[in-house]
Amino acid sequence: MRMRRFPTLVDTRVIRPSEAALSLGLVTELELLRLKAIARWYARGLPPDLSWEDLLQEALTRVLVGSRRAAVGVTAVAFLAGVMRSLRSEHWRRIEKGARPRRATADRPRAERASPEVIDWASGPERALLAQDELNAIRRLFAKDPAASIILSGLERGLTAVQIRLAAAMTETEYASARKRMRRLLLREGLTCTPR
Amino acid sequence: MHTKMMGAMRRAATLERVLDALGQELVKSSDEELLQAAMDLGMDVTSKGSAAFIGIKYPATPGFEEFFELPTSRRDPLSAARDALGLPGAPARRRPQRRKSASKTPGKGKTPPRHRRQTK
Repeated sequence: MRMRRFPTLVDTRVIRPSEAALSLGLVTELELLRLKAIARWYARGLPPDLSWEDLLQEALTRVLVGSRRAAVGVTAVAFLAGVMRSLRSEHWRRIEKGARPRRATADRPRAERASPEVIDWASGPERALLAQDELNAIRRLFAKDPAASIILSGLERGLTAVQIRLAAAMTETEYASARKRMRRLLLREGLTCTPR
Repeated sequence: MHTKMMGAMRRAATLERVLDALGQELVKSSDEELLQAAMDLGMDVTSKGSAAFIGIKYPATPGFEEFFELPTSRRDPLSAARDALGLPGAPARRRPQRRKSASKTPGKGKTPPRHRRQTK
């Protein structure tokens, strides 16, 4: 008896934007790997309907179709990282816009009726929960490195590199080597394929 | 309520700050650091079928969204209710198309178009 074959979820006849970008020479293989790490990083705290893969492929698509054009002197990685970051913000804006219930015109206060396009960008509890979960996951990532944990808590408070160094009484070399260790850890996490 | 909302906003802003700051670290990272990180994981990125390229050259493992309809991808309940009630603002409903009559003009095999039909 022959087993019934189910159709594959991904159509292999369709060329992926990453493959197209690679073939066209827009990015190298190593740059693509770095972009993967960046995409995985920027996908943190996003709702599950948008994966890191979507972020990366959408950013590459926008560059390939010409809706986003890089400025002269900006590297491909830096530019695509910026596109992914803006896609992230765009996704949140879309969610928040859709989630807000619209009141009938008669119920709206006069000020709101005068400017119907005013949108309340206040974060919902879901976003706060996702953010808290991700912050905890990031803290766990650097938990074994005390210097990195100090730097992370400084970044959370919005401190600059100099302020963190002064607050933690770190030398410039200590700070630089801690940042290097953090970078390596982030790259290692970014290269894996495990769901977070 | 206001305090809760402020707390929620603060947490989201903190995450954004951390992601921005450490995202820049990834942008600035060198090829050597990337290769070193891959070696730590036992990955050979120079080989054709390296696991590092999952999600880039070949698809990643299927996610929830492939099998389930997630709340964020669903239509908002307000417009769904508007559609169901046929209220203004909803896209016009398509009427089911009438079936063409089965009777044929004898001898021709095809019904002539309505505007060309002769009336007696």
